Formats: sequence, structure tokens, C-alpha cells
Amino acid sequence: MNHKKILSRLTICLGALTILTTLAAQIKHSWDGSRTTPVHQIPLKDEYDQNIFPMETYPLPYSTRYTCGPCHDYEKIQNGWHFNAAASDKHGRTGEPWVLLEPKTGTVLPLSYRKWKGMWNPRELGLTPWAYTLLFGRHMPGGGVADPKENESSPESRWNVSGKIEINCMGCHNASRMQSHSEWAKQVLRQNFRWASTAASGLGEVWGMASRLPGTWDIFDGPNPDDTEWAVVPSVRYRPNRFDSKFRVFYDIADKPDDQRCLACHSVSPVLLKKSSMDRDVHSAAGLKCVDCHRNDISHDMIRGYEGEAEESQDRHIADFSCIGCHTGKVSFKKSDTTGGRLGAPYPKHIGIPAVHFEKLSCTVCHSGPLPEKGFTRVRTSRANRLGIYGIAQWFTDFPHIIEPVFIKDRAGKITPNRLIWPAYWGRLEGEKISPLKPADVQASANEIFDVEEHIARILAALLMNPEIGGIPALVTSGNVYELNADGGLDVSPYSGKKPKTEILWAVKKNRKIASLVPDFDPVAEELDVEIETRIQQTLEALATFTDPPGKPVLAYKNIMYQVLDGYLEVTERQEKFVDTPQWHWIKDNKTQPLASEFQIRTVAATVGSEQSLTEEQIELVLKSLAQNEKRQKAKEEGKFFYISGGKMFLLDEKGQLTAAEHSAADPVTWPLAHQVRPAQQSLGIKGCTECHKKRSAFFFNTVEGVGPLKTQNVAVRSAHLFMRLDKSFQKLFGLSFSIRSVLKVVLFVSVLIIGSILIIQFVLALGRFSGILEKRR
Amino acid sequence: MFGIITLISLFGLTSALVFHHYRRIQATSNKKSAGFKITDYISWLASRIFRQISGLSKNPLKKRYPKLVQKVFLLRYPAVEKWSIISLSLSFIFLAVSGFIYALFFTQSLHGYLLLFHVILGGIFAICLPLVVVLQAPVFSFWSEEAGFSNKIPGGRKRTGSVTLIQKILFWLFVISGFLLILTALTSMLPAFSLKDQLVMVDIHRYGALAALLSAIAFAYFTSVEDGK
Repeated sequence: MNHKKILSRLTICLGALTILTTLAAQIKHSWDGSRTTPVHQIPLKDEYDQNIFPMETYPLPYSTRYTCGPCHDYEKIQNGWHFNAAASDKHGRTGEPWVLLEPKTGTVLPLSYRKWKGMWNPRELGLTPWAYTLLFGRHMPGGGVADPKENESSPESRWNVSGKIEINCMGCHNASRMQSHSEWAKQVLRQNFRWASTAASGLGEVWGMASRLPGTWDIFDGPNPDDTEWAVVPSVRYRPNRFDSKFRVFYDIADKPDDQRCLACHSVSPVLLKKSSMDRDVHSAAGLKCVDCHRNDISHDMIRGYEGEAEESQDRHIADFSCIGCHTGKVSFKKSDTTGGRLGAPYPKHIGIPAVHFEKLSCTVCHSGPLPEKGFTRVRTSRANRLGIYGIAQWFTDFPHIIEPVFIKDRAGKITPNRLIWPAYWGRLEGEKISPLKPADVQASANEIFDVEEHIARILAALLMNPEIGGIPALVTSGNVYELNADGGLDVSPYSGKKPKTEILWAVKKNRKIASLVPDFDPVAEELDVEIETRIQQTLEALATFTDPPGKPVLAYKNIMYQVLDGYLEVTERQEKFVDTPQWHWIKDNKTQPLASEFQIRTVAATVGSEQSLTEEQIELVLKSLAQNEKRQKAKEEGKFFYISGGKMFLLDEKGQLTAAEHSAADPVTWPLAHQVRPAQQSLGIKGCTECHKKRSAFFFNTVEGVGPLKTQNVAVRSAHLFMRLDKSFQKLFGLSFSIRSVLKVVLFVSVLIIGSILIIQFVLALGRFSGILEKRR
Repeated sequence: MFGIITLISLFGLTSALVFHHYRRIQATSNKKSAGFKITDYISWLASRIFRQISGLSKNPLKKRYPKLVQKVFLLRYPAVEKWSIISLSLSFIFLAVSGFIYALFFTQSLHGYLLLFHVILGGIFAICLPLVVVLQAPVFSFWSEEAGFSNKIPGGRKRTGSVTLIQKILFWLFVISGFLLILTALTSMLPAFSLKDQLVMVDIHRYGALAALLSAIAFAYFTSVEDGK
């Protein structure tokens, strides 16, 4: 055979292979037309595309890329809406941000990789995919940022230890009740990224914590038999009964995910509402699933369902799934009628509502979210407030403070209801440029100013080390009792006992009674009671367990000072000023300072038990500290540090005092809400025009007050009409006009009656004339 | 669509009235026998426009105003009749201007303070129109004698001047349009009609307003022509 023949046959073979591959790929993507969901009895594959056998000693977790990938185009799915935030240039209508919440530094920073107004790109903040995944992986569906390419890893990342989070297919498509979102969140927080999907789907149990492993560990290193207590290597024990004799697993797959799966990350509920009082969305109550409207094909490009989405994505088909599209079969209320309503959606009559409302308002204004007459409703959302994760610890947070419905004029000029949060963060202002600071950097710069509550809590924790304390250590000050709580913070309750002799009393709480750590005694007596002496010594020894103490603990009373030296209580007489109550101090270089400074006590009294975690004094000190640090580092940049909270920007003035200023960077961040949709009978305006159009209309004139982690009176206050870009006096006047609307109706009615009568007379006369009746009468 | 129809009909009416005026002038100057020539008409129109413009500059509107006011304000009528006609005319002018500006030049419908004043003056229009209709029906009725309508104004004085058939037709056209305008304004405030019906009513309101405007312009023209005789 000559070379030419070989070459031509090779070319034909290659060509045929290419065609077959293309065809195979097409078969992989296309739907055959059957409306059934295939039984998913499939072999599990690990991240190296190897079959998983559950009886192996160290089986790897299953990989969705290789288990689901052979039939479903993983690469295509990766470009879907849930996974492409960091890579896509499609942004669409503003959606919910991820909120970077760091209570200690008072950071509430809305983030998004999508270009949405008011939200910071994590890259601008210096957040790497690793940090981002650690922060938000608990509610992420995997893929995208959580599954970075090899060249995207950063120095602090530990992807080699944790593995990457592949798309969690079962997070949405698992119809089994074994699917656990809590398990997913826990595994992500333990950095068991590659194991999370296996654990959450209920296929197996996952042990160990990748977060405790050294950064050099690799999956090929396997388990460490020498450490079964602390740095336990993550491993999976598959449930053997889930496998058949061919080692295939039955996956109970929901082609259309159940609402429960969507709600794991998309729940929103009012803070004060009882679970039993929570109504379902009217669509859900009617039997629709979330995905009946929010559809997608294999591309996983979800239909978000807002007005204008069809124009943006240049896909007219999408218009069918907006409120108008589904309920009227039209693209907009004004355009010509086509087929009415999908899936039996009722055609809205909107009786008595002037057509102008449909030009100016989106459907959700009247049909979604809480009614404005009750004021703004505070809500929690899954992603912002960490909902839906259950365990011994309390996972959900009260912050960020989200309210709804705030009516805002959107890009298309239509008013839509929105959710709103006030951002709070530290940053640097250089001219017009705003650069937020990472919370960790701020904390490193002024740790002792932020660690106030922790400091007091550590003192109380140290006092608890006294085995003979006989109760719970507490701090009594400003009429309150502060005790240690399970999270290492402080709980506050009002103090109801006899007024203590001193403003700051370190005490012990026993049977709801507060007593001083040491019973009253006379320090200048010739001989001290042994019991008191022991008590003092034990307390001082307990205080000595305080990690990294500012000095040695001592008790000062009158001019006597007690301290423990070489295991004995030593009494020294001092020339220092007279103290008439026993006071606990630290002593260093012969200088004493109280266990907690006045600043710390003041701050704790102001913030513990309140939603606000910072005081203006702290802000001032931190801003000074940031500026000083910069001087020390001799940074050349010119600019000012600031803190934003409650809609105001806090800066130091020329005298070094804290001032509050208006700045657009402090503006609230909003995103439109769509659910819960209420039925027509509960829509806004059902009681008449004056539900909105009146002088003191809640719809137009509800006021939003800035809320943030800073305890201050300096907050922004905005009236609802400002968000809608409406003229206040006109709306007042227009609202007022509704009080005389009935008079106008009467005028118009009488007018119609008179003119109508005369026209009828003329008509009758014409009839008489043409029929000849008038002639005959004459 | 409404905007195009409005512009076409306004242009058509204006052209028709100008042409009518040309023919009338021709008739009065005994040029009727000469027949109609398009070139004559165009040159007349051009000279007329030029004269009007130059006339305006020499004799500004301020100076012409008293004459115009005298004509329009119909000083020969008693107070009630006179003021109801004045109020009707002024409110209608405002309603037409405010309504048509938005219909012709803006994509948004009438809103804001203009809408508020539109509603208020709509109320005045609704009060004045029936008054004018009641008081003027004897004059403009096609069959006032058969109906036994009195042609006397309060005080026993007989009405002066005559009303042509075209004026009568235009008067009743305006009344019917006005009736539709008020009726649709009333019904849109009642909680009885669906959005579809409301949209139909908006269209009736718009086209009613157009009909009222056209009939009012034509009526004003023929009234001025009759007064000039």
C-alpha cells in the first residue's frame, strides 16, 4: 500500500471519527421527545473518572462532572445562570447580592460578580475565589467561582486539600428527602469541598475536616492513622444499600426540581412572622412549581421572569413567563392580544383601575410582598441571613437588616417593589474614588478597639476557672448584668438587686442573686478570715488563666493590695489613693489598670443586647488608628479613611473629631422582589384608590431610616416618594383631590344626565320630524 | 396611530377651511365665473400667508386682541350665558392643549400637575357644557319651532343673528363629542369596568376629544364668517 492510500484512508477515518463525535455530542444534548424522566440507575465516578466501589477502604467522593457528565453536558451547564456570575457579561435585572457580614468590624457589604448598582465586585475587595467560596459556599450551588481553573488559585487557597466544589446537581435535582442543605453547609464550612455533594445527597456519611489538615495534604496522601481525633482526614462511608450488584446507584431524580430545593437558597420570610402564619405564594398554592415559570433547558440559562427580559436576551419566547406574558399572553398590557394565559393563568380584569397604572407600575407593586400600609417589613433571606442550616449552633443572623417593600422606579421607568439594605463598611476615600477595606485588614489595624465584648467575655471565662466560684461569673454595670453565653459572647439582663457600692462590679450569680466575687471584709483588720483569703486567692488564680493578660491580677482594697506570688497570697500595703470597695486590677511594672477599661465597660454597656455592635467612640478610635498605621507605613496615597453605616459616611474632621456626611457610597442597596405573590383579593388597591392616593399615604410617604451596626442618631432618613422619584407636593395634592372625587363624580353624572336628555330630545324630535308625527300634531 | 390621525385630520380641516375661505372671497369679488385654478389658489395662499406674517409683525396680536375678545366673548348674551360660554371655551382650550400635547409629542400619557389641572378643568367643562347646551339648544336645534322652544333670551329680548345649518351640525357634533368625553371620564372613575373596557374608553375619550376639537375649530370659523357678513 502506498503512502497516498494510507494517508487518504487515515483522512477518511479521522473525518468519520469527527462526524461520529459530533453526532454523539448532539445525541447527548438533545431531548428525544419523551415526557418521562429516565430512571437514573448509574455508576458513580470519582473526580478522576474512576468507578466508585463502596467497599473500598478509602473510596473517594463522587464527582458530578464524571457521574452526570456523560449524559448531561457539564461544560454547557457551567455557563448557566447559577454558575456563571463571575464569567458572564449577562447581568440582567438587579438580583440579590451576597452580603459580606462581619459583625466585629461592623461590615455589611453587598457583593456581586455581576455589574449591579451599589454592589461591590469581590475582586475589587481583594476577595479571592477561595475566600469567596468559604464565605458563601454554604448557599452556592457549586461550579463557577467554587470550581476554579488551575491557574486561578491564590496563595492563601487550599484547593489541593479541600478539592473544588463541582456543580452540585443533586442540590436541585434530588427528589429524595435525604438531600440535606444543612449537611452541605457544614461540609463547606469544614472545607470538605469535594465531599460536600456526597454528604448532602445522603449517598454516604462524611467524616473529618479538611480545614484542620496541613496545607501540604493531598487526596493521594489518604487518611492519617496517627490522628483520629483532631486533624482527621475527610473520608466517605457510602451507604451500601444504595448500590446494586453492579455497583450502580439509584438516584431519585426530579427533572423539575421541587420547590424545597429552590427554597433552600431562595427563602424569604418576615422576621416577626410565625411559621404557622406564613402563607405560600399564590402560584405555589395553585399547584405550580418554581420551575414552571423559572424554566431552563440543558444550558441552565434560567428564565428570571421579569418584564423586559425577553428584549434583553432577544428571545421572545421568554416573554411568556413574565407576569404579563403568562396572565395575558401579551408582551405588555398595551400590545395586541395573542393567546391568553399559560397553565390556566387567570386573565386579570383589573376592574376600575385606570390604565395609567399599568404604564407606571409593575405587577408586583400591587401583588407581591407585604402591603405598604403596615410600614416596611423586616425580612430575612436564605443567602443573606444564613437560613435553612440546622444543627446545635444557631446559624441564622439578624443582620443584615433587610426591609421590603421599598418602591423604586426601575430602569424602564416603572415602579417596582424592592428589598433594601444599608451597606456598612470601612474604606478609603481618595477624591471621588471609594475603596472598601477588607474587614480582616481593619481588624488587624485596631483589634483591641473591636475586641471589647470578647475581652469582657474572656475575663468572665477566666473567672469560671475558679472551681469554688459557686455560680456564674457576671459583670454588673449600668443597671445590667452581663453573663457569658455559649457563643463566647455576652448576654445582658436587667439588674434588679440592691444598688452595688461600685459602678463596675465583678460578681457571681447564684440562684438569680448577685453577690460580689469576694464577700465584704475589712482589709485593715489584724487577721483576715481564711475563707475570704482562699476566695481571693482562687479568684486571682482564675484570672491568671486569662490568655495574654495585660499584667498580673491583683485585688486592691483601701490601701491594701493582694496578689498571688509563688502560690501564696501576698498582702502589700500601698501608698496609692484610697479605694473604699474591693477592685480587681492588672498590675504591670508597678502600674495598675482595671480588669476592663472604662472605654470597654462603656462600649459593652452601649452595644451588648442591642443590634448595633459599634459606638461612635469606637469608630473615631479606629479611624485614628487606621490613619496612624498608614503614617507608620509611610504610605504615599492621599486619602481619608471612613466608615459607612445607616446611610451616612463617618470621617474624622481636621480637628480629629468624628463627623457624619452624606455620600452616594452610603446609599442603600436595593433589588426587586417578585414573591410572595398575593391573590387578587389581597392586592394593593382592592379597597379603593385611597389605599395609595391620600394625604398621608403609606405608599408614597413611608420613611426608611438608615440602619447599621453603628449605634448613632446620625442616620439617613428617606421618604418613599424619593425612591420613586416623585414630587412630594404633587402626590399630597393628588391624594387630597381624592377627598373631593365623589363631588366630581356627581358633577359629571349630572352633566351626562342633562346633556344626554337634551340629545335624546333632539333625537326624538328628529324621529318625529322624519316619521311625520310632528306635522300631524301641527 | 392616534397622533397620525390627529395630524392628518387637523391638516385636512385647516386646508378645507382655507379653501372655503378662498372660494368665499372669490364669490364676493365676483370671480366665480372665472372657475377654479390651482395656480391661482396657491398664489393666493402664498400671498395670504405672507400678508398674515407681515401683518402680524406690524399689527401684533396685542393690538388685535380686543377685537378677537369682542367676537369670541359674545357680549350680546346675558351674564350666565356669556360666562358659561367663556368658561366652556377656556376650559376646552386648556383641555385640548394639555391632552393633545401629550398625545402628539410624548410617549407617556398625561400626568403630573397638568393631569391634575386637566381633571379640575374637566370638571368646569362638565358644568359649563350642559349649561350652554340648555341655553343654546333653542338656537341650534334643527326643529326648535316644532319643539316649541322659545327664541327669547331672559328679559324678553329676541336673539339676534341667524345660525346656519353647518353651524347647527357643528354645534351638535361638539355636544355629542363633549358628552362622550364627560361620559368616559365618569365611567373610568367607576369601579365597574375592566382594563380592556378602560382602554376602549381611553380611545373613545381621545377620539371624542379630536372630534370636539375639529368641530370647535370649524364652528369658530363659520361663526366668524357669519359674524363678518
